[in-house]
Amino acid sequence: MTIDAAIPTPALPEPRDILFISKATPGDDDFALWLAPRLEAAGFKVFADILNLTGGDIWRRVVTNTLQAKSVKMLLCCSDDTLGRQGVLEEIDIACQVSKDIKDETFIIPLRLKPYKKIFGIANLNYVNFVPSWADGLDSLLETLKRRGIRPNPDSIQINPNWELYRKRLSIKLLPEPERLTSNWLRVAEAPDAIHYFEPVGSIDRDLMYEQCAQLSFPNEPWAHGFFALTSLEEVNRSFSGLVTFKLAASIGLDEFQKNGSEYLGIRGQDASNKLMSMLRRAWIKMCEEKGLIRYEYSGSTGFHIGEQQAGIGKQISWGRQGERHRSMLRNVARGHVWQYGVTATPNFWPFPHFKLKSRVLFASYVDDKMGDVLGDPQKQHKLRRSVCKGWRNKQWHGRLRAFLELMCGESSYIRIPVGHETFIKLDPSPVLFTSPVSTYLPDEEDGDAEEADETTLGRPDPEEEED
Amino acid sequence: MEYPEKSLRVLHLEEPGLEFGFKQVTAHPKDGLHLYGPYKRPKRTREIRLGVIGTNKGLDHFRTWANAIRGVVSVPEPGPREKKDRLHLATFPGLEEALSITFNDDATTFHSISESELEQATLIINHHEAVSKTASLYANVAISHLANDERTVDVWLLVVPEIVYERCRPLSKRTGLTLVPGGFKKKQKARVSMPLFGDSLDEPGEHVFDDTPDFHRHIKASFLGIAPTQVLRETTLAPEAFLNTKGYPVRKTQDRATKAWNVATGLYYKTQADPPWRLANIREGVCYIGLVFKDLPNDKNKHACCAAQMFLREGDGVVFRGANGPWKTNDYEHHLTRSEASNLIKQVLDAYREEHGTPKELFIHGRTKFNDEEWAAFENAVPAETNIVGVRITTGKGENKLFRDGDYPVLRGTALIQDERNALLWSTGYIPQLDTYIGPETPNPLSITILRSKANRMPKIEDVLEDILGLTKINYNSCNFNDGLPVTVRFANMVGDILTMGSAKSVKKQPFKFYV
Repeated sequence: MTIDAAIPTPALPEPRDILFISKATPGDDDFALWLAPRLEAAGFKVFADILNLTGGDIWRRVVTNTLQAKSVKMLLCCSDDTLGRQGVLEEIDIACQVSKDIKDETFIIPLRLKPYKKIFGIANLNYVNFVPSWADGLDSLLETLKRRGIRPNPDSIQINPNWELYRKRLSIKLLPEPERLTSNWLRVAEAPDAIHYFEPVGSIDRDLMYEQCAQLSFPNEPWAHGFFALTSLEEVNRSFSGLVTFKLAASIGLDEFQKNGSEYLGIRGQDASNKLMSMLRRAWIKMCEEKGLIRYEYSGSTGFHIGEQQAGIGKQISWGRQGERHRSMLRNVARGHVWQYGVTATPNFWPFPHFKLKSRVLFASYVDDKMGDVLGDPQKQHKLRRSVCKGWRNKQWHGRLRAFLELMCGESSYIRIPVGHETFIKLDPSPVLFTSPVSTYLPDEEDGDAEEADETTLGRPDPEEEED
Repeated sequence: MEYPEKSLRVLHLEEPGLEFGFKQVTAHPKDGLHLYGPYKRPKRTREIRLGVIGTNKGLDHFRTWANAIRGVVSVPEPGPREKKDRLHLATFPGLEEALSITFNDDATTFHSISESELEQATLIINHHEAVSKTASLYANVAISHLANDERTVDVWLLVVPEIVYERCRPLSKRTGLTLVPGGFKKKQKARVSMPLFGDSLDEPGEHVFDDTPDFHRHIKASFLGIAPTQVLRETTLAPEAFLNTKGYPVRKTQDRATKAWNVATGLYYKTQADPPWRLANIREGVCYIGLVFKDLPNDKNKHACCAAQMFLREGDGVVFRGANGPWKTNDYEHHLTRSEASNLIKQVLDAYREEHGTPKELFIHGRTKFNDEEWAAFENAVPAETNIVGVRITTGKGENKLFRDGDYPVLRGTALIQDERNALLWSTGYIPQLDTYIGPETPNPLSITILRSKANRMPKIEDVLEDILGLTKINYNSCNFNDGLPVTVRFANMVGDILTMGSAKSVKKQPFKFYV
């Protein structure tokens, strides 16, 4: 053991190297969050109470200790509002004491953010003026610090990540927990095994046959000498009332047909898929017509809407499982018009067989408390859609889709789309569910028919339509 | 046949980080600029030189507004129905404070144009001529300044009254207005066709029919050889000065702080060498190209114009013009010939090499497919070590939706993986950081397909999606948390529209900032 080691080393006082920002919370937050990282980037150490997001007694002690023992200057945000805060006044008291203890009359540096009335403790101090511009104020502050011998350490520049964390303190946390997502896809649960190709026995006027095909009660697609359908030979021959007799020329598995077509029949995969989709679309249309839904031709597709027959104006439709019941409207009055929810259905076989349901809203006139004619002008429909529905959110659109499906399937377990007399495509009326690997806290407080209250969240029109 | 229940994999992509001053990374441009200032921030504040053109009233509105954005612009208090904490809105700390740039009135060039002259121009009976004349009133000022004034202008700000906005767009109706005669009849929309004379007879003034009657495009095209521009409506600058009979502003605009953020960011982007932020974590050596096709208006040969927009991690964008030609192959598709496809990619590669060497990966983003001929040309044009990948990005219109069991919609960054080449990506949606969803109704996903890649060096779909999500964050024309479209696709139409203008004929290569 050496003699040196036997003598206890006196603890060195901690260096006073922190610039302590005294401020009002939240009034001076924006300023402090602008100033602090810039001072740090210049090589200073900076402290403010907002570095700890939770606060509390222990944190108050940290704040006091930092001011008393570690701070080289106090940067005091000055405005009447800030200087009226009890917490700030307490910090000024402590700072005045520190100023005496360390014999630094300029320990407090007032930062003039707004014109303010002088108060006890800082009345005689020269301020740094941030009123004309924060940027100019920062330049002056750096100059003031330099003049007063407060040197930055450019070799150890560290920007505290907590400034950013404070700015994001009200953000919602992403949770690593799975969450259910409900799509607008309806799974095809069951379909005929095969598509059939029927050819007439003997010669026939092809144009006449095509004309007849268009009148048939089941979906079909003419091709070469005959046509495709998903129904039986018996029904086909019955439909032609014995005028022509057809034979079953080929049957191709449904999946195989839509993927690869048929070499035997000379139809390529893409064409075959188009024909099948067209048949399914028409089957859906026919089913909706038979249910009495209101048909409307949109640009390139057909929509079907809930009408008076299905739901009265303002009537709420229940949907959802037991214990999880919800209610949504499918028709109501807004901006002097009746709106009616509906969908356009698009069949798909990829990545698995399903129908996509695109939500639609159709507007009609409203006269004497009654619905009048559907508006014929597509531009007017579009304009009303843009204004009436823009505030409908996740819950409203989800609810309306589910309520629509509830009406579509009634008591049945499936939505059955006839493709022949006794042949159906069966759709599972519960939309396909997916699972996201993450979730967040999710409020579920809005009314199922409420609208967005904060217009600033509704976004702007497409920037391409806007100025720039 | 019964079909079993099936599901698909869902991913959540992390919000891409952006790099700001002092090498700090954060996801939100407003946070980044407020806390740290722009990426590559100058040591000293830079003074930008503005040229402002408008009517006397417009210039007054600009002066008032410009004075305001040199200080703090606060977010208004929430209304009674609005959320208390609106995290998507942020106080603007001031132009110099946020972006380290400033301007002063003495160094700003103000040019006044006559209100009555503007009024008369917008009323010319032929719409093409009216729009062309109106745009010329602004452009001629800048052209004259360039010729006669030694003071440089970094960016031209064009302050337009509502009459220009209302009357000088392609579908402006101008009903109920007393139109005034000009050089052409009301219904003329193209050059006079005189087959006997071929191209030898050029009617004076007919160049107005080479352009779409759109003031905005006219301005962008006219200024391509001058300087970047920013068009500002008077109602944007001073909504309180334009009230309806009930005392409300005639036009709803964003709050003043948001407008200040957006315009200030645009000014920085258009006047500085480097953009205000860059993507923090993009793979090295990656280059993105947005392909653009646009039919030339009134072209007797039905030719189309093609262009490539190149974007890098740093956010730099450059537009390369290709040749005009018979690229339109049907109502929905355009395809280049082998030689033109090769030329276009070579232009991009040459520009990339000047600064960055040889790219490792080159992604071509577009809305349509590539045919075998043009793809072969693309592949041959790039060096052996560069993979080239074609990606189709289309926007949905409600065909695909995902709903959450509550008030807010699906999260931005959610991806439904359909297979190793196809996915749906929700580039808009609920943003936990802002605790809201910005946009109307419910979000629609982008539909992403990896169409082709060189010698089947197929990238992972996850990487492609991450890149695209990143590219939604470098639209420097505003200061939003994100855009719904990647920048490669967002401005494709607009760039094409500008390049088809007669006044943009001679432009070959120009920074992207001139177009937006």
